[in-house]
Amino acid sequence: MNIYKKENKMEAMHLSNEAGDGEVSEVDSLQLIAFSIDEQTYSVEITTVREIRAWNGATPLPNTREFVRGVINLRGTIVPIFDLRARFGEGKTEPTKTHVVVVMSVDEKFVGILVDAVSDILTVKKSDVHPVPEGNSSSDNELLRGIITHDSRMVGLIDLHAIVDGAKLEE
Amino acid sequence: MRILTVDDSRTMLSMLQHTLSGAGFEVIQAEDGQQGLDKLKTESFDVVITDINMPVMDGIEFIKNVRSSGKYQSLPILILTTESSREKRDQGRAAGGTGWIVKPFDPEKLISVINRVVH
Amino acid sequence: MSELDEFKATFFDECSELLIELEEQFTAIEEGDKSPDRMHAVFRAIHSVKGGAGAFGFTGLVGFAHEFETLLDFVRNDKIEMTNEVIVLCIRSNDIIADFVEAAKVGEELASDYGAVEKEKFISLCKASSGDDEETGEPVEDEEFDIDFTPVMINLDEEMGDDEGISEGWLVKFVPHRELYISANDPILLLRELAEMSDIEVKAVLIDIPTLPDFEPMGVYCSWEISFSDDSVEEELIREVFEFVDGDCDLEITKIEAKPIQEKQDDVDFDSENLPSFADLADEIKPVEAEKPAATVAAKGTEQTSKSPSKTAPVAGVQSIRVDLDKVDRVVNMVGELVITQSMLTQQMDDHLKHQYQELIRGLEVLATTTRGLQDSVMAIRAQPVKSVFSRMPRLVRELATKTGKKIKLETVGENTEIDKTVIEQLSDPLTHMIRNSADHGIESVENRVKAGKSETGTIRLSAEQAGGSILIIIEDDGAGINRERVLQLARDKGVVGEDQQLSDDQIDNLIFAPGFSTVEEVSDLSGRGVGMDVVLSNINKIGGAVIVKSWPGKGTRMTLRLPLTLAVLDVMLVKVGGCPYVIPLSSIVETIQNSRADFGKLPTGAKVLQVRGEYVHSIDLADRFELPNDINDKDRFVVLCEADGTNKLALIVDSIIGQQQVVIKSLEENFERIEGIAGGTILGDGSVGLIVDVQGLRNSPSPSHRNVA
Repeated sequence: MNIYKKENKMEAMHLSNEAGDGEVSEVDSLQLIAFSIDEQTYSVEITTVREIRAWNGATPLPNTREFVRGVINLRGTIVPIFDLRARFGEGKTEPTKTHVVVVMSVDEKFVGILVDAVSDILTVKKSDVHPVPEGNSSSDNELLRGIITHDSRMVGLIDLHAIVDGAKLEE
Repeated sequence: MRILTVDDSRTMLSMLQHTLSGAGFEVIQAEDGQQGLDKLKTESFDVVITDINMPVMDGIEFIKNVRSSGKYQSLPILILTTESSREKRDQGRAAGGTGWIVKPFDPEKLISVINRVVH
Repeated sequence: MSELDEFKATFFDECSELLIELEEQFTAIEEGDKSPDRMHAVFRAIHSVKGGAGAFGFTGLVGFAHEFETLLDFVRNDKIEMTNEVIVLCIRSNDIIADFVEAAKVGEELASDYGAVEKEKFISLCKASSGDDEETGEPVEDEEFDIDFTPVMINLDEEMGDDEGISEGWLVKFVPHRELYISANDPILLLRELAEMSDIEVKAVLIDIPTLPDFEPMGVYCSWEISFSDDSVEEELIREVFEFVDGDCDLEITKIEAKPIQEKQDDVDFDSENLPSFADLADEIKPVEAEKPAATVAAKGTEQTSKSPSKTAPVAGVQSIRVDLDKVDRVVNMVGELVITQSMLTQQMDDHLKHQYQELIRGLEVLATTTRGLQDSVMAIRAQPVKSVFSRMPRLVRELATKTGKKIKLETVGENTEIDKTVIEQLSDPLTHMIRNSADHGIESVENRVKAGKSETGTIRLSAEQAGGSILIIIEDDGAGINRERVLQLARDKGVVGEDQQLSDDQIDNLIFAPGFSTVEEVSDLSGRGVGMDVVLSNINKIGGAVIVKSWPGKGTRMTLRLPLTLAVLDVMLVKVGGCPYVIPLSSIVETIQNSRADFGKLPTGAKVLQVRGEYVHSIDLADRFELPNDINDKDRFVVLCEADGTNKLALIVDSIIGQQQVVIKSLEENFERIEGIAGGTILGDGSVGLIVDVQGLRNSPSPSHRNVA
């Protein structure tokens, strides 16, 4: 159910900003926000998400990897945007106003990831998170912390640190 | 109850402030004797606590000036003194100081000394 | 932070200020100004340090400061002369105090004998000066409470209280003198305190009260007798109540023996009939002369020295208040946002609207001017004299001179020049590093200096001045200058420079800024710490500044730091590169030239150069450099000629020039990381992010590092 598909200009949606980044609750379940890139679904823990906004352009950064889309102005702070599709090696995104930027907090820094659309909020048990099977494309192995089966869908759980690392062009 | 604290050491002023306001006093600060006199001119206090060694006007001068003005005869003035400066303490008393507190001060002792000199 | 921690922080702050003051005072004293004011000031400074240290239990510091304080007390009382030997001792001791304070800050203890030599010197100087009379450190034991037995009046009443009688107890006879009242002590408070200790009975002795005509308003006529019904209260405690008025009263404490109840024969009631006439009494009973405590004499004697010393600080009559830096930062940020908003508003007015709304335009112009003024004022609030950073340098130079065995003198000029606080914080490391360089490599050994016909003592001159829109901080030495052959060779060895590459003197001098470059084979512990000149340069660049080096072989070296006056806001030129907005700091721009009119050439290496008034200037195509699309016709593009540092210019080719603007600098590293060629980000009038071109950075590395790998 795509409840957050953006049609036109929308308010940035603020989500809770309690808890730290990447913190996992003591209880045995996880709350995730799921979003899609083409037909794939990925997710991150809701506690890391600060805001969801519509794509409204970004200033490109020179000499950075192709998945670094650029930077945006988030209420006076400069925040980098990573193109998730490109990060997974699936090509560059051609973003439109309907695309979405999920702003997250990783290691005390704010970063945004560009996705096609945000789909749901999922609650899963920690035990539902399975390790990524070998043999998949190496980017999946690097970039995902695990795979969850939900409603007969496969949802990847993103490793935020891996996404953010290696953004600068290597020397 | 209003207390005027006169000391050129920020640390001492803030510790006095903390102890005294915690005990319910209203604390006004001054950094040297001259500032102390200026405060006295415009505001009223129930007791004054002053250091001895300060720039511009030291504690002894300050006390002398307060007493000689004729207006503050019943204003108790407590001198902040160190263990080893008996001479200064006596000078302060001779100048008209009411009593003294040894620094570093014990908060409880400070309050009890104040009670001894203020109604 | 706990309250104790807060007080400690205040104390440490205060110590920093006091140490700076001590440094200044002793510099003046060293130069011959030994006025009493200075002597008092240095005494007070150490006294304050000791006082605070005592409160927090920093015993090492207290111990050392105590002896130092005693010496300074002797000096200010003219008991010891401030000879050169003493001055040197004091300067050294300041450094020791600083070390104690630093250790206390991090919760460490210095070795128990740290400063022992100096301490000894203090003690022996004081002993030699005074014999044994003065206190040399140990707190004097509480002296015996003075018991004055002078009877003052007839005991009219032998009643000891109730007829029940008393078994044992105390009888306290308390006769206040005039001084007691003058010092605002109040018998009632004393009596009250006694009452809290035990059950007492108080009798006022009023016999001395004269008739009205003889009644002096300030006269003292009352005394009291206080009886304690039991002696469970210790005499000591009773005396303690009177400790403040010791000497200003007659106090007699006697034990009451248990005695059987008996009828009192001479029961004299205080009854006017039985009393001798006042007139008779008045003749007989004279008011007791108050004993002049020795202290009063002493007070007179030392009146000279306790006369208020005038402030030695430069500005008298300038009021100041302390403000939390957080509050100032908030204001600065808000003004920054205000600048952006005002800029946005102005931008929104396109030409069409401009015609329609003249008033609005005028209003916006006024707004712009006012905002600018507000901003200048707000930035000035955060401005502080560089003194605080400069003040650490003399000690540094002293240590360097000792370590290297050279003779080095430090001159400082312009310490009152004000710079934004945030810039000042960034200055300490670069300055330290550059001065170390001067001491290490610049200034020659005494032997070599003499050989070269120079004075034995080398001079490092540290100065700060305002020049145009920047602050210039100059570190200059009269040493040997940069050893160009060595630098060039090292650069060739490290591959920073090609074997056959020829470089001009200036270019060689600038090699010291190349990454990873160090002119010392082993990183000595003096200049080392892994901080190379390249880090210094990048730190300066980060805050929008530049470093220029000039050297004269055999004569010396000069490093000039050019820093922006205000950190947060920058005057820039907005340009477009590859369709994206970029800004170039106005202070770096020399001129702009239309591409079609520019005279370009190519070096044999393939590098593009621009010929301008006989000069060949390296040129960089920004679209190319930043890997952006380049689809504008070359001749429609523009060249922005910039000054990278004192001598080197750089020509930047951009798509178009939009206009001048004021922008607020925002950090890229806060959420991302540093990008070569980019000095930071800014929020443009339309809310989008503009990138700030790092002119000096581009000059130093014209192509992105990842392309250097051949």
